Amino acid sequence: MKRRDFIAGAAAAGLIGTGRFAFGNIEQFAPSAPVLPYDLVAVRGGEPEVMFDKAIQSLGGMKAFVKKGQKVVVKPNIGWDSSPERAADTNPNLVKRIVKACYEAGAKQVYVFDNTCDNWTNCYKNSGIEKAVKDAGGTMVGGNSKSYYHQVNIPRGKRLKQAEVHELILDSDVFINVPILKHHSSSDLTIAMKNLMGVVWDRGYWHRNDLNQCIADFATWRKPTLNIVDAYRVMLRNGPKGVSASDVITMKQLLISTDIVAIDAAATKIWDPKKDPAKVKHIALANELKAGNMNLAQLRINRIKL
Amino acid sequence: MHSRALRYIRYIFAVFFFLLISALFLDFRGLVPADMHRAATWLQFGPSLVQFIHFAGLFSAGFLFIAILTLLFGRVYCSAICPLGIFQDILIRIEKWFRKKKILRYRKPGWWRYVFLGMAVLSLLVGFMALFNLLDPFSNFGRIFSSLGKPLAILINNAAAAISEKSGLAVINRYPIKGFDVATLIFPFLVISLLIFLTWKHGRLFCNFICPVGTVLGLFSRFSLFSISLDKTKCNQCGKCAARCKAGCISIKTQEIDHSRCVMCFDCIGPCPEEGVTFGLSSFKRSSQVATGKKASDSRRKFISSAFLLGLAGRLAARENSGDTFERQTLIPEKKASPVSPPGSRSIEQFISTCIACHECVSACPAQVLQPSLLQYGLQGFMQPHMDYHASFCNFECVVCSEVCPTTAIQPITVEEKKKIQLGKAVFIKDNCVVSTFNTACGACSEHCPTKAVNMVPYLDGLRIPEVNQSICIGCGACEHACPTKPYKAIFVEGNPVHLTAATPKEDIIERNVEEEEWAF
Repeated sequence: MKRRDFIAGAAAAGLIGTGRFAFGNIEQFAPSAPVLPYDLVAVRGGEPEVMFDKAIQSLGGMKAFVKKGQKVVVKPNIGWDSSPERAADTNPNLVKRIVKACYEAGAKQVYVFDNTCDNWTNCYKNSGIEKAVKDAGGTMVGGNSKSYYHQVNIPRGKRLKQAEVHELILDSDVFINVPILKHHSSSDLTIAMKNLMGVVWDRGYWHRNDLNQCIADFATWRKPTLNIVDAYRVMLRNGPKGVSASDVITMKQLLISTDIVAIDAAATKIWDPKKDPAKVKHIALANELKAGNMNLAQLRINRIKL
Repeated sequence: MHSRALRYIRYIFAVFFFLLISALFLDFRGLVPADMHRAATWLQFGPSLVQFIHFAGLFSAGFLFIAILTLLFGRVYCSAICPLGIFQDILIRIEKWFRKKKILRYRKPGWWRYVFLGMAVLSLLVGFMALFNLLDPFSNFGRIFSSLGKPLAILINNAAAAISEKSGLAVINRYPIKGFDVATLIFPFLVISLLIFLTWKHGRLFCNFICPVGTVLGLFSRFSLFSISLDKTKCNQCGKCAARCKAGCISIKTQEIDHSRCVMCFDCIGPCPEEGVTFGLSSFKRSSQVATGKKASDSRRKFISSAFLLGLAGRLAARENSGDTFERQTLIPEKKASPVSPPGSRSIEQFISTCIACHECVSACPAQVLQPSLLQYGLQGFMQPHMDYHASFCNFECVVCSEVCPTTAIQPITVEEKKKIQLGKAVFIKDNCVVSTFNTACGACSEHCPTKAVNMVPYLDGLRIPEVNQSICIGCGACEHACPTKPYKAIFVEGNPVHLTAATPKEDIIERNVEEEEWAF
């Protein structure tokens, strides 16, 4: 974001009020209050698509989240020009199954994008996600140009008060966040909350202004309809890009939750059973801001072993 | 042969080569396969000659083919193959819409062209490429189309994308323009202005005045087997042929054609009412042309030299003035002792003595990290591309520039080779770093590093701070590009004047059996 644009935007927002720049409010993506049987579903021991099917079934199927004729945006991690074996990007088979499930539930159109770190066309192609999405009938959209992004206010943010967010996130009825669990050199781990950094344009602003606080702040903006964590292959070091296949081990696990903080806490335990989620700074901060609940003991968890 | 047939043959070749070469420079989507680039530019005289001088081989014999072609048919290259020549013909065509019929006039042959040719030859001989690069038609064409044409193509694409999205189709993706440095546009802009001026006033004067390739081919075309001739027995000196001659090389007074300047457009044949202008076997009885052209006017000379100086001066206003009043600014400038040359160029010395600054790699680079330089390589390397890590960074898996370079100044390398070539080394400026100045987490540099040469190590309060292991650094600039500090980065790549080989990162095996683990929550 250019400073001048930022100031101009901020000034305009101040003059006109929040109406013009705020595209809706935090609850928009929350499902129309379906009473879910569980707060979190954890599955292990299967292929990504099989684990997803089991998990979503136990929450009442995709129909509980996607209604007929709705526009859906799926946001995997496609940040790196890397093959699926390197586990830098979300598993393409999982993304494919999710897109299919959305259509089966009656979605009108399913879009997939990421604001990538490496060259975007290479990321889309080499991650296998572009092909997977096309095969499932979905549409890949670029996230590489500033003109896709529009400014929003983050009223509950401490350091991050405004951000430019991809128009697909602003326009869609349903937002499915599909991160992959990885080690991360900046934020310790990257899971569901950190994955949302890929829907904004100016990441440098976050890095300059207390990265962990900004990650937590953005989690207060809008709850994704669903978070699905891919922990089939997990990068345990040298993240988020990885140096070689030796950084990765196969874990065959998957998490689903509507609570973005809870799912990050649970994924932290998968990454290292001895690690306290409160020690991952952005998780603790988001918990403090009440973007979700990191206390796993208070949650209704469905554990499925295949 | 009938004049119309000759012109149509010229049109077919001209359209083909113009579209082909333009595509190389306008292709922002990477649609032209990288391995097609060299074949497409094989016939281009300038790049082919430079490649031949430095890396002699069969693949660089295109200019010899053109020399033979010229000995056979005259300077057909200038009207049917040279993209800048064809571009001027297009300008002339467009200019026709805006004015009454232009009558072209005969000009005496000038000797200035030999001065420019001498400068170009000297430039090649001593490896001081800047002069050659400013004169060579292919280089100039490339710079115009890469610097001005490609951004225009992207803007048109993005407008089309916006329209398609409004209609709900979203079939066209938008593309960004990175590292747009106005100072580097000044020179191509001046050249295109010069071309518009010259074509408006004097037709193809550039090709017979400045262009060293035109002058060299002119030396051959004097003796070409086939040529255009004016039959003195038929000529009634009506001047219709000369009025159409873009090269201004038909003298009605003496009824002579200066074959050294004829660009073989065949426009003069049709208008002759007496059918006295014909294309056929040369008679070899021509009276020798007297090279007594008058001096180029002072104003023109000034124009050209000022174009050059302005390009340099523009550098002063180049770097964006990106101060952030709300955020703290970094204070320590990055001091690069050496610029970074692209992977495959081996050393800066080799690169700047073989690169013709045509910007084909700049157009083809998917990352847009290759950007035109001004004086980063010194005056000698004016306009040659350098790795601009403020604009972008080099893709770890990409060798496109090495595949497209028409002179092999950037030599072909494999992806595996590229991953080991050290273009430069990352240098950390701790006092600019977010972690040490604000005591908040960052690590954008380490995130992007493909070899983890930039690694995060423990620092105060549970924070981690970058540490550089230069031995495994390849100098791709991902760290420098990702570093969020302004206006100066906290990490930058110091170029290696001679490219080195990076060590392989260590790979320890992770011992962990997940299947035996219980639920952790």
